[in-house]
Amino acid sequence: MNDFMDRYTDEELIARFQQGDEYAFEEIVNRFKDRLKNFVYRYLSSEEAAEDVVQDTFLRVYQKKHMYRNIAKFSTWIYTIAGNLAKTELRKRKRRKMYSLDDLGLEDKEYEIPSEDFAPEEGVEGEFTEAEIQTAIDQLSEKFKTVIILRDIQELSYDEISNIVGVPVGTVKSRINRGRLKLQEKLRHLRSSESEKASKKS
Amino acid sequence: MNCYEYESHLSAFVDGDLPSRLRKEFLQHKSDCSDCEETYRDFKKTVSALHSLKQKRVSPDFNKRLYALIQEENQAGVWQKFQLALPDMRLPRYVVATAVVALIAVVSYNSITDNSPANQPIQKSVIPPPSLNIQQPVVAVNEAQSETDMVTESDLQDTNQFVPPKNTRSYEDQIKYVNSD
Repeated sequence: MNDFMDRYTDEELIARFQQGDEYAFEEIVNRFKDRLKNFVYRYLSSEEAAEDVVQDTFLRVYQKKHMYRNIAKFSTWIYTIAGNLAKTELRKRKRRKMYSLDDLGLEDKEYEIPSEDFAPEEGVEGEFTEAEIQTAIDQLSEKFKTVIILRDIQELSYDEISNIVGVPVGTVKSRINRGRLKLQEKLRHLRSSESEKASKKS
Repeated sequence: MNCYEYESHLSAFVDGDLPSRLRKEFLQHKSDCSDCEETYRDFKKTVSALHSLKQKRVSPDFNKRLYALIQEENQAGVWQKFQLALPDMRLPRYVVATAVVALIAVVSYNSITDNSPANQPIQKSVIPPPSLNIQQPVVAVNEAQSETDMVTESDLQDTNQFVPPKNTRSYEDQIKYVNSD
């Protein structure tokens, strides 16, 4: 409908929106909604929660549009908002999970509903399934998880990740390396525990 | 290059960011150390697995729900602004109500105190209002008694009120006297 919007950069779009052009906002939504969904989903492991966080992110952009200043890339700004909301949601979910585990007796644990809603049979090319990778990502601490998702799933540059996370580029590089090594270790551990289970069953 | 240094350069090597000198050292160590060679293979698999994850997409009604949410928030925002403005709107009413209550209180107080013996003309002249200098109550008595339009001898006889002896009662005694009635 608004194909002419394609020619604008992200920064030009937000500038137009700041001047009251609602079509520019629509283009921003269409440009970023899937990228942000993917980012937040990998963070929270929940389709529904991820979509809510992305909705909330765009709502913040709509309401606080004048807070964006053209000193950073617009994508950095919107990823920072989404990342902060995702972190808050993750902490809430952790607290809820903790309380629900407290409420359950040991004998009730079999009724516990898993928080992950991805399909375990969904495979990815290569050695590991999507479920395995997502489980390993979930086990990473926040600081490693954020940089790994931004670098290896969102494919952002080190500079942009540095701006989003608010740490120097050198720290980002170091965290990515350590995060990948930790992920590798967790995947290896998952694999070995699964093969142990399989051998016990047989 | 030792194993620890080698491990710290894994990402840079995989991403193609390692400077040529370090790259040579890295490759040399990789060919010399079988454990590190295996670590590299696993590391590369992990990164490939992350890159091959399927991209998540929003649901088809995402935009529709977003605009509904924005509209809802805007309406809530307008209502919130209205509520925030309300205290200002209530302020005059509050002031008026306070003033009315104060007025009623003053009128009631006056109607009660006007009938009390303590407020008969003689007492009014004897007890200075709080704003007067309490160090000189006797002067007030003398002045009041000298004002013929306020208190006369006949008034005192007619009302048959207690008249404190001239210049003999201190201000504190006068207060005690009024309070005792």
